[in-house]
Amino acid sequence: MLFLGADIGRTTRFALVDETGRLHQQSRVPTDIRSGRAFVNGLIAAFREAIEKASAPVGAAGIGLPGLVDHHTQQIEVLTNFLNISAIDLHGECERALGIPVIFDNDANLAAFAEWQCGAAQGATDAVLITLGRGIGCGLILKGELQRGARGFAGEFGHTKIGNEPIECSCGASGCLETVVSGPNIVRRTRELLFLDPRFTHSTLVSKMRIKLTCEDVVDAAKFGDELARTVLEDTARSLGIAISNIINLLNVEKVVLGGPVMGAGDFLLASIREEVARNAFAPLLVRCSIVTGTLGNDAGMIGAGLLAKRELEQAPPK
Amino acid sequence: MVGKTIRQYRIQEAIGKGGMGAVYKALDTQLNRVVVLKLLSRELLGHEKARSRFLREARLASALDHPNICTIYEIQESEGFYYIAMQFVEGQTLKQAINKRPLANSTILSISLQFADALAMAHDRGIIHRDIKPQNIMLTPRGQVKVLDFGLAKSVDESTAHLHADLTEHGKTLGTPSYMSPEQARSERIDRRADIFSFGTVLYEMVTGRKAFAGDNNVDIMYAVCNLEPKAVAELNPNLLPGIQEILTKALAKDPAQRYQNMHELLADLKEVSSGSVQMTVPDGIHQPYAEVKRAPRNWFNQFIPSFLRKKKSGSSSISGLDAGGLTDLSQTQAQRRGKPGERTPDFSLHDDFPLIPGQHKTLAVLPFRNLASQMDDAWRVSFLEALIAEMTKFKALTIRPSSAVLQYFDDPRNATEIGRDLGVDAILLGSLLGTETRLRAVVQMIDISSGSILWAGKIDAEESDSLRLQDALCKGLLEHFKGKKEGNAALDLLKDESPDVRIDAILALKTSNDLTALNELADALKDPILEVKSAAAEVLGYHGKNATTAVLAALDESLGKRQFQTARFGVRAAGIIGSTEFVPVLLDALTCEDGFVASEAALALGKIRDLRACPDLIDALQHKDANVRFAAVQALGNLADPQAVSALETRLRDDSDEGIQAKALWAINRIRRKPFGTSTMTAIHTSTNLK
Repeated sequence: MLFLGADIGRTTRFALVDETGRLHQQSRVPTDIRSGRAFVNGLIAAFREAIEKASAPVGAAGIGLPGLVDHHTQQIEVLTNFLNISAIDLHGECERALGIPVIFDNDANLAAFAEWQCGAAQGATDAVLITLGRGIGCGLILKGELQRGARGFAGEFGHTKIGNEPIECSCGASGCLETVVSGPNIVRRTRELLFLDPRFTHSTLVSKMRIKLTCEDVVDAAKFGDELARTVLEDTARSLGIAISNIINLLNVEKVVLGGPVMGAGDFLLASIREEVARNAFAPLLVRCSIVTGTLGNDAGMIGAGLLAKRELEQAPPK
Repeated sequence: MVGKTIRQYRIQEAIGKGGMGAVYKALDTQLNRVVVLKLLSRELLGHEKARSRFLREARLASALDHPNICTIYEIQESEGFYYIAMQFVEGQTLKQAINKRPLANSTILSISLQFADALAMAHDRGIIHRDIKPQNIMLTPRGQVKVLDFGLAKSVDESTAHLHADLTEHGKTLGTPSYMSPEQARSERIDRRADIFSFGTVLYEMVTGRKAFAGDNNVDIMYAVCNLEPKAVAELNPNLLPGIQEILTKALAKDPAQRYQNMHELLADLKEVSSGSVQMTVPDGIHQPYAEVKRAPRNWFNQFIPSFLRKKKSGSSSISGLDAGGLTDLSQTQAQRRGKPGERTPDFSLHDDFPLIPGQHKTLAVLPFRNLASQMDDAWRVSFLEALIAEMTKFKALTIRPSSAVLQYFDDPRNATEIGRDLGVDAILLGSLLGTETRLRAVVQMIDISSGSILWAGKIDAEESDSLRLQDALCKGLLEHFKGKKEGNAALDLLKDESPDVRIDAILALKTSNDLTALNELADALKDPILEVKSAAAEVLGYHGKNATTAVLAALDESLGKRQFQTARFGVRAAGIIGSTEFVPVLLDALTCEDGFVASEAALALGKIRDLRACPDLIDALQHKDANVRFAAVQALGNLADPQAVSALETRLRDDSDEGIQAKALWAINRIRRKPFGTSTMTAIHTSTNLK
């Protein structure tokens, strides 16, 4: 049996996931955000086609969203950049159209689930996955269970407060971790730093900065030792390290898994984060705690969605 | 005992006998210096109380570290002797100096100020002398006071008082009758006010040449101490300084409650007397020299003038042909120090304010110079330090830490501001040495401790035939720099140095310069080929604020006209930091510059100046093909917080391909929405006037 696993972002990536977490028939379609209706119709069409072409029966579908999903009601509470979605019963329509059980969850939860089931957090009973991309996602595995909180909103790590920077967050508050370490804010800070320090006029990023700069550009430049890029990412590592220390101090996790495009910067970023954690976390809690990068990469969302769908199907009461 | 050696001390001669034992002059053969050795007499050795008292004296005195208190070197037992080794003070006792004649007013003031300061410190440490008398006060040839013999000193520390009580034997009179306080004479419990009374008796004797309380025997003397008032000083010294009588009256009050309650009060009154209404610092040989020990001139004629013919007001010189003494004495002494006219040209720059160091009190520590790449050994460096300190003390506006305070920082790796805080100074002078034994360069900085910034930086080169001359040349060179020779400000000279680091240091040193020339030179530094130097120049020009507007405007006009975009870029940056609306027209021009960095900096500067007139141009700049310019324009519009920009920013948020610009646009929109128009501090000029 196979399970549909989908990861919705600017692009919707989806695949059929087998019971070991391997991906089959990977596909991607641009996410239609013109309206809620266009969005739903686009999803259904793409998934239906995938199910029809599957080499084995598809038992259930898991769909990860960059927003807040009430786990019990399966209602989408917040979905940034996706307008007019609240009026649509996304869960109901998908189940009816696809003819299989569908489970929605936060994309970071699903990535955490995947890393726990078959990735970097395998074997741990208490772990946290943090994804660093356009936003900051976080999934919590505690006592061998994916933790969602009272309504499924647990893990909004990106909105924990890191300082008093006056940069306003999409959530409406200021000082959020996301305003410092998310992809767009890494680019923002890179642009700001260019004007603050004349040294950086010689950065390899300058020509790109005239046209368009992405977080991946900064990450790549840092890998090759560019001073501007490294400075920005070292600052990023400092803020992340402090925030991660808070998680370790609070939850006594044994694994912190870091994923997302920002982690593409490589070992130097991970080393800086570890250093900052060592400075700030309560030492006894660090004894059996390791900070690692995820092993499933950008596929973690799809894998987690598929495997979660499998689990939900297995655990569902017989009809 | 003479000729005998106790440990490293070889006894040379007997110099007196104290209550506890003999006092000798001895040679410390280890350090090759003369010391005073006080030995506890053999007869008292077996007495536990006597030994305890002897040791207690030394312990108490050794806790006092003051330039006017005799230093205790050590307390030891050796070969059956208990001894105290202390500083040997060359000179004469105050008793010898007075010799039954009043001292000169300058001398009285100098001695009493030093003595009062020492006693105040001892009292602050909880120690009472209890045997103050002119014999216990030494005067060095330079006029420095050294208080001796805290032998009967008592600690007023309540926690240990009970340990001392049985030693002092309440009920037994201790001290010297002519100088003891009434409560001492009555063998009552005493405190620091007993010392104040004794101080008064010594002051009286300095002023009049006579003891305040005298008698044929100790009983008569103690009676006088307890019951009689001393003769009015004006009758004995017609040159009395105004205010001295009042000080004596209060210090010699029979009732301790009517006296000065602490030495600080007395010291304050003495300072008042010494300089009229201006506070004078205690002479310490560093920033306020000691006065020569002089007696008052003999006023023979005055002695024979009937009282009704003498001027009642003290201190006036009413009779021609006679020395006035008093204040004239003081000024003569100062003139003597300066040198007679014609012999020495006064160097008034040494008496001016020292503007490099901000603040009123201007304390400075000179740290031992580091050996960066020179062949000078440690001894030379110590000697150079001391010579430099001596030179710097010539600046009257400065209080310099003595070498004893700074030598501990020899080659200390800590940073200057930390050391400066340790020493409690406003500024540190430090440097490094490069060169050979005959050719040296000293690279020097003066650091402001509170801010950590460089107040001054410079280098001095010297080439001499030997190392001592080298020392002199370097010291002289530094002194000349600080005296501000007309040849030029050292920092300005260094703006053209071949090293970018030196140029940057020189620029930073010009932060505190008020010289118009400096501003023009800083604006010129914007043309420097090194970006870091340009950036430093922009920052320091910004620091000078509106004073630098003219210089920066001129630099901008020139650089934009000549298409010197790197210079223009940092000129624009300086304009933004200065923040004057005078820059708006030139910045609007720069916003359309073909060089993306200039245009970006112009946008940022307009955002800092917050003149709403720039808003339409900044909105236009949101369409710029250069993403840097768009980003800067978003930043500026966020700073301006003009609601008319919201729509354009929302378009940017939606359409811009750069996620950094999107993030910034989100910030700017939220900022504008949070801040209602008109409530910010920016200029609320919003017209359609074309400024170009």
